[in-house]
Amino acid sequence: MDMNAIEIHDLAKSFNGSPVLDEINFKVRKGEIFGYLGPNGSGKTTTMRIMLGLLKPSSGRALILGEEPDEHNGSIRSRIGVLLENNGLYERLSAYQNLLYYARLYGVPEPDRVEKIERLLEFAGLSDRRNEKTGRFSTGMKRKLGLARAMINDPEILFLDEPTSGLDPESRMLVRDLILRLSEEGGMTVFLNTHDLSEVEKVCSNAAILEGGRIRVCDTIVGLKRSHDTPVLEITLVDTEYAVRTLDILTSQDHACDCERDDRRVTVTLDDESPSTVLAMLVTNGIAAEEVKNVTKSLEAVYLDIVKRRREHE
Amino acid sequence: MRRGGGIIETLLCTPLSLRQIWAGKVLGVTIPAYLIALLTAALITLIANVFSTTILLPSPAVFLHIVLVVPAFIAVAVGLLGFGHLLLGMRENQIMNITIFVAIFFAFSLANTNVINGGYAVSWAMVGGMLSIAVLLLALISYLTRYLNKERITTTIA
Repeated sequence: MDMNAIEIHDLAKSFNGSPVLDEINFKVRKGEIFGYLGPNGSGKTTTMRIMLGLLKPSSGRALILGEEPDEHNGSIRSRIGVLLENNGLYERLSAYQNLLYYARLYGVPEPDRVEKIERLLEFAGLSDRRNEKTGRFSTGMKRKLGLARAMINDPEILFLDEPTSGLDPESRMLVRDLILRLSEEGGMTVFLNTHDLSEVEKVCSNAAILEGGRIRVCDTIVGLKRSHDTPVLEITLVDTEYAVRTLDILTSQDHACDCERDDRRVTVTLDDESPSTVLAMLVTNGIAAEEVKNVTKSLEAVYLDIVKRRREHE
Repeated sequence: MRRGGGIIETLLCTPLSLRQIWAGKVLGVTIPAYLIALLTAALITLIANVFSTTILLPSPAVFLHIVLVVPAFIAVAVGLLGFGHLLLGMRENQIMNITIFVAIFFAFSLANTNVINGGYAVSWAMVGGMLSIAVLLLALISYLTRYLNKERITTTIA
């Protein structure tokens, strides 16, 4: 049995001779929440459109549930759910009517429709507003209903394009919880297209970072952080004077590639040296430190590091 | 922020074929447009009767024209417009709408002159001929929908 929900092999896409994607390779296992990260214009949406059969690749293959998502292949489209930038909702219809409309489009059997719609409205927390026109809904409510709409056919894979974009922090958290529940309770595969790093860190198990039309890294979230894990030390000095001296000492060292001071706290990113060398240096110079912490690099730092290295390389 | 493509991109991801999406849009516009046309015809008849000493009713040929030819031609116009939008790309929407409406109004102005001068009369042959043309045009546009492709639609709405 095929354990991969998505397989992308040497995918490339050009528009009018300009390459947008090149040598894209990754796999998404069934039941996984996969984050597809990248800055604006990096080719995230183009990759997703190829996977949805909306665009044809210039070369390479995209296999969705073992089949190529050709534009005439309706059987694949009935097995996937899609939430794009637009929620795909008719604003003059109520929440219930919207879900009913899509249930008919996907051929959800009539006896199951009502029960399924009720379940999805409850899932989105919109049961009490079922008969209200969606045009009156807030952005967050529309997004949640859009997510419910994308699940009307019980998809095996859910494709989400920037699902929390433009939402307030509370709605953002609610949508994230819904995505997590889908994977944990329903075993659904989720492909998450986003530039929100905190979202990927909180929700995804694996991620690929796309930059300039190429995948720079593809790994588990833990693996991504580990592979770019240059030591970062956060040193809290007993007073500001020591902090200033520490900063002076560290900035004169070649292996301290990035130093910052905030009042009594100095943060230093080390190149090759181990943290113990820095500690020894502080002791030698008679610096009194209150606390020294080895800080784990956030995914954001890893991402920025990759983008920065690429720009330096260019 | 990217320009949203409305609901069309979501519909392209459903199991529906492009022809089904086109047909759905045609029906969705034709039905309300036809109801408005019926209402207008009823109002014209009513107003004509107010100013007439005898009761004026449409002839059987005119009645058939209203029941069959009018909805068929509305469907042709909407179908052609929808097909054009999908074929040429969503960006040309406004240019196409304006061009088609200008053409329709120009045709109406010519036809009105002839109707007022007594140049046209609705006959059975005319109803049959126009209905045949409408059905043929609808069949032709429906056939041509096989030349639509999602890539073009998607790239022009983005």
